[in-house]
Amino acid sequence: MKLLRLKLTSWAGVATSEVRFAPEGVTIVEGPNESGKTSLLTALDLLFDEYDSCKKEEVRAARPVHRDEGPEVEAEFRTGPYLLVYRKRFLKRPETSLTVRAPRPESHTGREAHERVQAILAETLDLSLWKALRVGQGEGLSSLQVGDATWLSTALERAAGGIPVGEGERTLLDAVHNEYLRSWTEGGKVLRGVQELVERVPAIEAEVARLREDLGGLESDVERAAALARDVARESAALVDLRQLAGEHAHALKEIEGLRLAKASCERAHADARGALGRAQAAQEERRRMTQEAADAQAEVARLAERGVADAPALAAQARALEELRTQVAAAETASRQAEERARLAEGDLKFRRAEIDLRKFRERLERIQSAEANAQAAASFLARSKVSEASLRALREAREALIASQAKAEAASTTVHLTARAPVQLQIDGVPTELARDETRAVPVSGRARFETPELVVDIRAGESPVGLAQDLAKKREEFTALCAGAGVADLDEAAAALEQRKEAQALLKARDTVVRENLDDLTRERLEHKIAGLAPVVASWPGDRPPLPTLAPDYEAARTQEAAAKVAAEGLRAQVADLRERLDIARSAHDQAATKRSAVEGRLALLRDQESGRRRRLDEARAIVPDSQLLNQLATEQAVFDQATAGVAAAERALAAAGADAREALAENARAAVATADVRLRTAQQDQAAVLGRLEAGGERGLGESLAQRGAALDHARRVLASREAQAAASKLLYDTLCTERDASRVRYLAPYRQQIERLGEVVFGPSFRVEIAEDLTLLSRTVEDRTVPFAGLSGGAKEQLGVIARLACAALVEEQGGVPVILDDALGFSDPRRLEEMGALLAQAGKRSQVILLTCMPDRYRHVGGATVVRLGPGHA
Amino acid sequence: MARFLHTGDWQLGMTRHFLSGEAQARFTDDRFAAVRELMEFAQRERCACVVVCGDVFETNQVARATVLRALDVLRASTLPVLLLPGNHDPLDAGSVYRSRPFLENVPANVRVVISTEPIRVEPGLEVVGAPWSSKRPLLDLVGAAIPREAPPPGTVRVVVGHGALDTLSPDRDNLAAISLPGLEAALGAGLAHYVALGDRHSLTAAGDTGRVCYAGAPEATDYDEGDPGNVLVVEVDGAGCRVMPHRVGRWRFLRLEFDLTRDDDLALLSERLEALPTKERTILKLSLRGALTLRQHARLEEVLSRARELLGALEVWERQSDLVVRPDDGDFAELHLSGFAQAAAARLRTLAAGPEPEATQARDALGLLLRLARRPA
Repeated sequence: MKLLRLKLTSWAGVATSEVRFAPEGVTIVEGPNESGKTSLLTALDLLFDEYDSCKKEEVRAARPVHRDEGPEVEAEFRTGPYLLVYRKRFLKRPETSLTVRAPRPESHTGREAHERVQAILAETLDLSLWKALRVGQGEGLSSLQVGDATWLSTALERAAGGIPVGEGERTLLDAVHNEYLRSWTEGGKVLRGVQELVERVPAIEAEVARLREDLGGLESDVERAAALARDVARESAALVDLRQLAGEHAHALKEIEGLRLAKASCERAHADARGALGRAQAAQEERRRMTQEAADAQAEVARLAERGVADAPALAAQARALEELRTQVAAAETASRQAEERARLAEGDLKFRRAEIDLRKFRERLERIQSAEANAQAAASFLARSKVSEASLRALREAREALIASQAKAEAASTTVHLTARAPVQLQIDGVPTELARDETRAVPVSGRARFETPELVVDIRAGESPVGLAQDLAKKREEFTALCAGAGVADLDEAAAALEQRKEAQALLKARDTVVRENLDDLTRERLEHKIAGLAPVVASWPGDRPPLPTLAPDYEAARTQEAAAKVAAEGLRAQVADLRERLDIARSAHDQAATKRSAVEGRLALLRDQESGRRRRLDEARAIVPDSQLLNQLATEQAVFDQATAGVAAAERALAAAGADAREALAENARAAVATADVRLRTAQQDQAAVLGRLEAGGERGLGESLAQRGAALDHARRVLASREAQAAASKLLYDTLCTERDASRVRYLAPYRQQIERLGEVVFGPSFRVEIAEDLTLLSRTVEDRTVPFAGLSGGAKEQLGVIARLACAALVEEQGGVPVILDDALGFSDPRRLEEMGALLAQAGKRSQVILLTCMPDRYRHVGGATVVRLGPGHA
Repeated sequence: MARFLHTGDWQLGMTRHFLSGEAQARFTDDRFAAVRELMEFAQRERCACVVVCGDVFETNQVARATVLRALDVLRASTLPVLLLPGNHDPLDAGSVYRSRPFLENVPANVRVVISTEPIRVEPGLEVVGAPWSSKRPLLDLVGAAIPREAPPPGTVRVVVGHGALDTLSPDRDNLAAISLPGLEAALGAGLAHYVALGDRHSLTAAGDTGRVCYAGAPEATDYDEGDPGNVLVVEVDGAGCRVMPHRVGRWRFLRLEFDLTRDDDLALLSERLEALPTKERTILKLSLRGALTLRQHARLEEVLSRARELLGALEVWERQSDLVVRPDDGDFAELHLSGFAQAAAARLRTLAAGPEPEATQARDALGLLLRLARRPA
């Protein structure tokens, strides 16, 4: 399509405006704001899209100001083989007219004209591409990254193989997709409806199988019923035959019964004879037993009497030996008691000597304790009195040293009077009588005053001022020392030192008392020690007087211990001797007692046997008096003869029964009865089975299984056919849809290369020879690469996005140019580009204009100054 | 002269798998309607009775409703009706004639032939039946049923049987085959005057006597049955026999063959199908041969789809058909496919020329493409 001319009349603020576009190359329409540039595009859209009766907002907005006329638009354009002039007036006296000048003249008006233009456009122009390659003012190219990429995808996809469809119709792919969705989910799973068909077949198959099985069972029952009917008939006939045979056998058995009665009679006689014989034999046996018992008793009496006579001498000897042993035991027991007494006396002596020693030791321990306690008490008393301690001694020493020092000072500072006696002299120095030997010299310091008196002479010496102070200090020190001595209760330092030594000794004594007490008490307490002493003392005092005088008391402990051991040994020996004799006495006594007892028992049993023997003899005599032995023997012989005769009778009866074949006949009769019973059971079983089968048949027959099976079989056949058809449809729709999608994707991939190449070829002018773009399968621009630096489209600047948007449109227009072309119309674009880019874009637009019609609307004429060879149309306020 | 109606092979309760639910219901109803009509016809024709020569029911295990409906139809007539158990409904332990629904509802005018004992229908007319007591008899039941003694003078004896005549049976080892020479000998000896047979669904007169006939099924049951849909009014006595067919059946089974290659062939097929009378009671099986383009195949599907909606049933006899679908350029030329759609069509055409089963799927897919692309905007 090439837009050749566009004319507006009475369109909003524009009275008249006509713009002619260059059919090839770039047309730049310049004009200030509100000069009607954008109205050109609006009017073009309304001309193509709306009827002249349209009252939409866009149409009402085009109503001319201050003029009572309808806005009018007229366009001249070439599309496909057609050259058209198309005009519409809206609102006021609306009108549409169409003049087709080529390929053959046509003229249409009104709606017919509109429809004709629509038809021509649909035939010759990709309307969606026409819309897509136009960008109106304010739409902004920077939004291209999303919206424009989508239109590009749509436009190019259609160019790649879309089918022509009317507005609002689905594309072929949509239709196939919808068909696909009749059987499949978007995720490729079979739809529930189809799945239900798939599941329905096995369900019906199972149902048919069940019915077939039931019917098979029913038909088996039919055959079984026939077989059972034959069985019942056969068993009924057999039962009749068997009953007749059983009757015949029963008659034969009656003859046998007579013989059996005779045999029973013989058996009873035989039993009676056996009883009588038994009784005779028992009487005979009883007589023999009584005779034997009487003889046995007599023999036993004789044997025991003989044995008593033989045992008497041995028993007497045992009595004598027993008496002798008793005498020996009594003598030994006396000697033993005496030895025991001596042993007890020796033991008392030993205890006495032991107590004597212990008493002495305990008393010594007690005395040591008492001595230590007395010492301790004296020491404690001293300590209580003593006032000297280590501290007081130290203070005394220090005071003494201070006194000496003071004295030394005083002496050094004082006047010293040296007295030298030429002969022994007695004098008083400061009132103290003093004696000097011959040639003795004494130096007397004088710190204050000093008086030397002899009877003959009194010398007063007064010291100067300084020695007085020293003398006062000396006096003070001396007072202090004297006071300390007085406080310690001593006269001087030596005494104090001695007192301190005493104190230490006293403290040692106190400490020693505990040690002495602990060591001497050892494991005892004081009370226990005194108690032991108190316990031992009377024993030691009384034993010598208490014991018999003889034997004499052992002189010491060791002797006592020796005597006590000897006495014990002697007593022990005698005690053993006594025990041995007593044991021998017991044995002898026991043997004698046993012999005596045995003798008594023999005598007692002899008396008892004599009683029994006489009793048995008496009873035998009485029995023989009633029935003599000979009579018993005769009776036994008679009963034996009767028994033998009865036994022969029974044997004869049994032979008669055997000869009649009774057992065999009876077995046959019994078997015949059992056979009847068996046949009866078999007949009843067959009849029961027959009734059961007939019952099943009756129940099964009412179910109409055959007809049901046929019906369900038909339903199965139908379901299978429906399923096969549905599966074929589903498979076909899937195959078709998958194939279309595969080819569509492949075509997109194929399309990417020329599209990308076209963009890169055009963009090279702007971005240089290293310019590359990456394009997604949906033709979205993903990134731009310049000088090996790749930036995602979203990360590009507004200017770069806008430039890429223009390049993409120009590339698209170039690609579809051979199909008739679509104008690229840009209203107020490239507002974000810098001057250098504007120059480069100018060159690019000029290059693109060589293949496609490009129309640029702008209010900034300088923006497109660099578009070479462009046709410039100027609109101005005066243009209206 | 005895006059009675000879029929058989009603096969009530029959189900045909190729019938849709609605058509099956119509088929079932029409079988009862045929019985109702033949009973009314017998009444009008002043027949002494109606003899039904076996296979009254499709099976012994028919639905209770089928039994009740059958007896209800028979109850509407006053004519005696003699029902002979056949191979489909033998008088075995599970026989429908011994079922509770039958025994509790059988009307007084209906009698089941349960033995070969002669049945006196009216003075001068005696019926001897040869009922099947099992599905596999081991002897000629009809031959065995014919009494050794001739009927009393003045009495017409009609023998009622079921099974294949030895002259018509393809199975020579069939022990149960009915001996036609034996029947003709009996007829010649005056032991019987007419032998009414069932089992064969086509009206058939056997032998030369004119006294041995199959009445055929009153309503067709399958393809290739010959002449079904009739009942016979029989007038017979010792002197002569007259058999008069009367049509009661409304359904027909039809086989047709077509060669399909050109558009004209499709047009002819369409015209032939359109011209079929009583379509709703016609069951058609088609054998199709030839080669069609996708477009032609789509047309064929349209024609068959319409026929299926009109006919009782339409089957394409796959075993006897040899129809090849070959997509050609013309199929897609008018669609002006381009781009990926064109490429997809080309790929599917390649698949369609390849091995099965992918080829069939591809042809189906191409057919779908054709349909969707041609759909009017």
